[in-house]
Amino acid sequence: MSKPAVIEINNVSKRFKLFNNKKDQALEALFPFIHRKHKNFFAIRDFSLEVNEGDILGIIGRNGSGKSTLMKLVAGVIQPTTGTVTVKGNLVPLLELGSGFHREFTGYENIYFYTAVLGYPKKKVLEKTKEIIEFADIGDFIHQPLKNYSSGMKARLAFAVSVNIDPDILILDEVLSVGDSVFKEKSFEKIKEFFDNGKTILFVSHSMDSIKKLCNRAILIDKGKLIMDADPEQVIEKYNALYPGKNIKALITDLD
Amino acid sequence: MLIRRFFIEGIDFLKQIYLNRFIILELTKRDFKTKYVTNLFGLSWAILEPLAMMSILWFVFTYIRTGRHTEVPFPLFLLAGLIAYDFFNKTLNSATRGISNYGFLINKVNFRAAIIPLVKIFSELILHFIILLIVALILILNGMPVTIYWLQIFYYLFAMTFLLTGITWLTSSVTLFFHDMNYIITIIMRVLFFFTPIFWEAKNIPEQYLVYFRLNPLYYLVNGYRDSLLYGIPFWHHKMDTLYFWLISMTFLLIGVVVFKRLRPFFAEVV
Repeated sequence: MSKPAVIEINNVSKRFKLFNNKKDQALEALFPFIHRKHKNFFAIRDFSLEVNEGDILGIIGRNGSGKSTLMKLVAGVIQPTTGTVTVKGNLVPLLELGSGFHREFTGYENIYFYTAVLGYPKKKVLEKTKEIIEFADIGDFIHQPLKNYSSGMKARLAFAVSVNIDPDILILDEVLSVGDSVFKEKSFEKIKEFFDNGKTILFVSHSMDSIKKLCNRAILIDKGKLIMDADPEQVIEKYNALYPGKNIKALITDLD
Repeated sequence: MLIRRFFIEGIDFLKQIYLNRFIILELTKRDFKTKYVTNLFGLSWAILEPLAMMSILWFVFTYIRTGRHTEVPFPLFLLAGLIAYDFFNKTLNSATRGISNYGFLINKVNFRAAIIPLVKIFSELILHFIILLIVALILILNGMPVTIYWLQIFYYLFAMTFLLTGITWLTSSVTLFFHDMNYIITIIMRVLFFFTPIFWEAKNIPEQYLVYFRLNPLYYLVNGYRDSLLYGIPFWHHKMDTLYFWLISMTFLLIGVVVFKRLRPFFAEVV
């Protein structure tokens, strides 16, 4: 039995034009028929993927392999150069830390600010405020401006807001890595709850343990291409085989 | 064919803005609050600044460079024109920087970036209303009659907001790619300060040159503020100026929408 696809990525390539200056970039955007000097860099190449409802999809790859670009494409923050990305349902992206939060606003104000930007009516958010604050569990800091937050606090608040407004699809790009073990535990519980409710999550992480624990499917990306799409166990095995890092013991002997 | 496509796309663009009106309202409140309410005395400085500027000009042109004969006392004449220019200048600057100001959102969330210049404009409008109230008070205390034409200020305010919307959709998107835009605007606005009838009157300009001064859309707005607050002249007394103003505003809106739409997909890559 296969569930309906909620994210369809069709032959997507993302080319970044590397310009020497921004003036050339503006001129080319305004007058596409003028071709100025630029270098091409493909962050994503001929990428096709279907994510089904209820998938907790782990995304694995080295730094610079295109994971974050892929997430931005799905979130609609950047547009594909060729191909199409279709998303069905409410999507809340959590790209990097403190994403979309205003530095000068307090955590409390940011709850309304961020959800307003995402298009959630204030009334609906008001009902959830208590849950959000409780989940974030950052004490009186909720009434402090965000610039005074530690990265862990930012992650807590961002995660608390994103999961409690109940999106259909959630993107988590390396957000849980800064949380402490207590918060991680709590977040994992919440993610499992999402899974039980048949929601979809895209989970980018360098922590193979987290991926093993949470995901029911994983993909491996390298140089913007899809290398493998299978069970988390198999994908992690492949990843470790492809990039055999020295283990700690070997490192220590090296240092000696 | 091409014009028709532009037209349909433009209407759709504006419709999307309308659908986002609640977000605009919410963001405007927050924007105003961070700018003027969070720092101590923030609002008082914002109000004092134009009043201080007016006092300086009033002092210079009353005691140092005298010989100005205006129908109404010169300070009031100056005040009515200056607040129009000041609102335009301040809003143009803040809305142009708007998108880069909200850069932290652009590359994290997919949302209608076109609402940001509007948010900045509305945020400045709140301040402008407060200044207008103070100006009204000053006029009354100086014995100026309160007339029905005072309400006409809303027409000119709407006209100015309309013009600013088009211009700042253009400037706020271009400035992301071309930072020098900010300096160009500063220079243009400084030139316009002298070429707009703020501390001089249009009737002192020889007829054959006046036509060039009237090409400046601020000419219409500054005179309009005076017509409303001081002279009680309705806007339909200036048919040609009104027609010209709306034509140029529509042109700016069209250019603003087209340029903004073209550049929008690349925002996240440059902010």
